[in-house]
Amino acid sequence: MAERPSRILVVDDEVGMRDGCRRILASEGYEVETAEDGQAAMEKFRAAGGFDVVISDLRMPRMGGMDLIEALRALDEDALLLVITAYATIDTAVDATKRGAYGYIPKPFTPDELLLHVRNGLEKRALRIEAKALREERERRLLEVAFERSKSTTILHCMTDGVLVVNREGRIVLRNAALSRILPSCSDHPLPVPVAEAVELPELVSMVMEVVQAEAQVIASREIAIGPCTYMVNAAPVLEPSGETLGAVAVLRDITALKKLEIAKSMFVSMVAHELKSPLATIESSLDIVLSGIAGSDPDRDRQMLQRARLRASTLRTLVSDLLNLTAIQTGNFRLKRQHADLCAIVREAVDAQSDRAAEKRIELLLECGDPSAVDPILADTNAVRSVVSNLVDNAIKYTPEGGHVHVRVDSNGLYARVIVKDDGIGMSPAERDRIFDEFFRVKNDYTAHVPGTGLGLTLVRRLVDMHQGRIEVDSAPGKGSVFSVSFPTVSYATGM
Amino acid sequence: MSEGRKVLLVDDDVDLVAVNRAVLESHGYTVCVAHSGPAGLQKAKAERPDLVVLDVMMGTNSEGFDLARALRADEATRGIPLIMVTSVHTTVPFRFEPDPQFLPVDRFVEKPLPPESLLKEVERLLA
Repeated sequence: MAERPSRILVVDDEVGMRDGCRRILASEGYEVETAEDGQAAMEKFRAAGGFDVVISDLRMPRMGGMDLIEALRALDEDALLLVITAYATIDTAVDATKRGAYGYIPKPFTPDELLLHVRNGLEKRALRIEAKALREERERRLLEVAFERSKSTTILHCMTDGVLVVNREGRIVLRNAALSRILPSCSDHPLPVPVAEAVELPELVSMVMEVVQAEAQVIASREIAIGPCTYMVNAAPVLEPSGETLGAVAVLRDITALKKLEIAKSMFVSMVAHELKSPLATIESSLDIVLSGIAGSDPDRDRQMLQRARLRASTLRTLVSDLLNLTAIQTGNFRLKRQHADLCAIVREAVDAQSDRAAEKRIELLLECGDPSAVDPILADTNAVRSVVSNLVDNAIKYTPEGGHVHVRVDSNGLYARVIVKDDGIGMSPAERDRIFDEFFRVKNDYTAHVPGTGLGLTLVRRLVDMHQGRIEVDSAPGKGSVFSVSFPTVSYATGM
Repeated sequence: MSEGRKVLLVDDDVDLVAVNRAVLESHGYTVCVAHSGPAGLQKAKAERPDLVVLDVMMGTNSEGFDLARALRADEATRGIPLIMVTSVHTTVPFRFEPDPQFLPVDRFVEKPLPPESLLKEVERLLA
């Protein structure tokens, strides 16, 4: 019941009535206020923030009881209104009730009559308010449940994996939007529908049925191809708390991209195996010739065979080492130690290391560095840069016939420091130039047949340059030589200072 | 008998060619070599060998097949027996047996081919 005393407003133009009612009600512990007409009552009602009960006479100046009833109802639909009047008729009673009055007390009335009406009214009001509160709470709960259910449904339909649920009899009872996308023909069938009817993939159907019908709990996993895509399908039983099988749920995940990666990897492995097998077979044959004597014995020729075998073995070792580096880069295990580096110094080192080789072929190997202080420092891994330059100079020497020229130059423009390797060797066709950075690609012609190489050198060069956010450009024409330019960002450009 | 018999070896692997050449020459054959398809065709027309041994894959995947077809297409070289050396990774189109239409060779052998085996194959075809 109410913690605070109920508040009652008595509205009557007769002062005697007002005081009389006040005394009666106050003695019961109610809080009472009075007003002499409708308008005053409205003001009092608003000012007090409402009353639990309003007892009102009908005939009053300014605003009468009937109008007051209506006005109060508008303000507070829970307001309890009791009408008291000397002019009691059935019609007025009905009218007052229609307008929202709760009760009707004809004057004169005894104090007990008044109190009874008030007490009943208050009880009713309390019940009504409680019922209202309960109703509101139930609505809120229902809303929450609906929201939860709709939340789950929304989540289900936003999933990228397809979800399919069948019941014990193998009928589809739930599928999400993703599944309808994966199996468009399935969504044509309204649910529930036997899975064999709606799904045109015997593998998926048998998987799901296997799980549903299994005696013990079975979880099935399979890769299934659907059109051009591959899906990993996982099916599990849907269980009741008692452990009984209610049905099965299958989740379809698109692994097409993963599959492509797998295929690409195994192709690469295949390529590598092939690239390793041939040279090894040749080395073996060369050694066999010398050891078995099947080609007779010719010391000079035999010596040549052995030297060739050795060179081939050395190239193979470089191949393996290059492959390891490439794999390290690809898997992200290759760590660069970036520091301030002097491109001129690095290039000089690399060029000096090749000077003997160039001399053997009577190739003129020149380096033009200009003023070292004019070349800005680069932010780079010194070993990586040296590797890049060595590779380019090595290639230039390899693909330039005897008596040719290889010129190396270093310059910078503030943003990039650049090394340019120019040779007047055999050059390349546009088709060859497009492929030189591909793994294992080597230009094949009568000249290059005698040039050892792995086909991975430039692949590595390109990767290393990319890792430094650098650039590599190639200019070449058959018979006219080649120009390779590699640019590395300077420290100021790289750090944005 | 190998007297006066000329064999043309076509393979981009110079060391392998050198090995095979050594074996054949030491058994009395005359050997000429080429390291690419186009060079092989030229040599075949110029030297008119009694047999050609060609590697299936040189610069490109089809270089060996292209050479075989070119040799068959040309009157001068049509009649020369061909031995084609393949590797396990070669995808042989459609057939495994020599086929006049697609694979105009007389014999397939697989890499790596021990020099003695090459010798035997050559002797057999030229017998």
